[in-house]
Amino acid sequence: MSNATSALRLSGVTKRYGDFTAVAQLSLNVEAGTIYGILGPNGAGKTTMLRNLAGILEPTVGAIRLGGVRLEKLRKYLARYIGYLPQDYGLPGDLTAREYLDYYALLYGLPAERRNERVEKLLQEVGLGERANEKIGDYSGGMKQRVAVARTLLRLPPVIIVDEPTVGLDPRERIRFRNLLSRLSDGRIVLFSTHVVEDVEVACERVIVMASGRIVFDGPPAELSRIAEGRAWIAFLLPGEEKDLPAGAQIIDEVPQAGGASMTRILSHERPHPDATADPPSLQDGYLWLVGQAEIV
Amino acid sequence: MRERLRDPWRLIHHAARTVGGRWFWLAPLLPLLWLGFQYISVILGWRDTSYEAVDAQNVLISFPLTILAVGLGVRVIAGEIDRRTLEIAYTVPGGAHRVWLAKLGAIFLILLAAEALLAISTFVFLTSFPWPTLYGALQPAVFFMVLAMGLGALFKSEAAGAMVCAGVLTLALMLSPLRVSPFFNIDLAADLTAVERLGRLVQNRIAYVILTLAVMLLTFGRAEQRERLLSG
Repeated sequence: MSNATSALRLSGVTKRYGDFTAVAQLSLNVEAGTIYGILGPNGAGKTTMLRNLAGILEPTVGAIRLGGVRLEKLRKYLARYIGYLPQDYGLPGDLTAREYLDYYALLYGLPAERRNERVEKLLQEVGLGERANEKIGDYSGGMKQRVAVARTLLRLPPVIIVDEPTVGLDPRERIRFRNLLSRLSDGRIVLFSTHVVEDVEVACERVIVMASGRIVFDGPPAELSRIAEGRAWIAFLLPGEEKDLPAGAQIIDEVPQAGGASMTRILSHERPHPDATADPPSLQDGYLWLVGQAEIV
Repeated sequence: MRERLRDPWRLIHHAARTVGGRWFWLAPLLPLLWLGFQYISVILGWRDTSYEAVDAQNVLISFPLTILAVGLGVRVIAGEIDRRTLEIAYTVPGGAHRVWLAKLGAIFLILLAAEALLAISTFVFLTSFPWPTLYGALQPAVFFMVLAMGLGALFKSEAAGAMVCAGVLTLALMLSPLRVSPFFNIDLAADLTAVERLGRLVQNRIAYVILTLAVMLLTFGRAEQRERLLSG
């Protein structure tokens, strides 16, 4: 499947578990060569959506098409088209990185003549060439994650889906991982979900915000920031003044000041305090405003 | 031929490492501890009688082999659940059952090696026995390997699967003179005619091939209930 035909399309995807609807009526067009960041609070349906996209689960209603072909028809060969790194990417601690990649290269049906070369290349690409013969159990969290990423790339899939990859990583490993995703996105679709707004701000060309099982935003990060335009305020609040804020106002940040007041960043559709001053909105403001509104609805 | 076998062999070798750990090749030696204990009990006179051919199948070979089979079998799917690697297995083209089959193949080879060591040790140190004993000893081990895999997947845990499997194993051992038991030993049914004994033996052996395959297919079906296995 060439990159030109590798666009991923969701049409009215709904996933139910019994009476519970995890995601509802998701429609989305994902184009190649783009990194998509998926933001959303816990329980927003991010993992369910990604599992459906990766072919791990099947939608209850709706269809997912990759290059115009329904995912069900590709299910048996999906590793060729979609590389999926789940949130729990547990690795067998007794294998070395080289053995683990060889194991999955065999399971993914990689031809023998290309297998060793691919494994070695991937080990170099994720920066583990030097330590490829050490047990995975002895690796740091970031190194384990890079082994897991290398596994998703074994078949050089045009789509890479990564679920909350930066959880538990130290800042250096997070940056390293973001850079790795950026390198991988060349000619590919990369979708990754996260709680960390900064990851999306730095790495993604498009952002999708999910709340209560629905997509509430799909667009460039700058556009998400603009949603909070005129709604971000800074006010110095004295203790007890929080309860006087207008209905729907969200306190984003509080920094204690001398004299008992606190410098408070507030999202509100109206001036939340007589002394409040407007502040330029950030991506986080846009995200929190959207999620807050979705939860109120 | 060698080229064709190289990839399956590598796959099984890696699978053995995921099931048995880095020292998986030591696993066939573990059942010998049981045999060593039996040997010592004979030497020190803790037993009234020495072992005979009739004891070889269940007491000396099959019991320790089956314990090993349960210990490894329960890890096939439940091990992936416990270590949170199950979702990765679902990405394997052709289905996750290819992972399970690779692991079952690896365990089967470990069991064969263990049985060979047990048989040789039994023959050398305790008692001689007829060749069919080896099949009779392997049958419950293979059945319980598959059953342990199934119970592990059913209860979504290695520990829970192993505990339930231990209960079934105890029951099966108690029923070993009966043809419904995977441990059915023809030499324990001495009051039957030769034709009846042969008939029951054939029934038992065929039934357990079918039953083992049925449990395996049901387990593969259970492992494909992805929503259930991935939740919680």
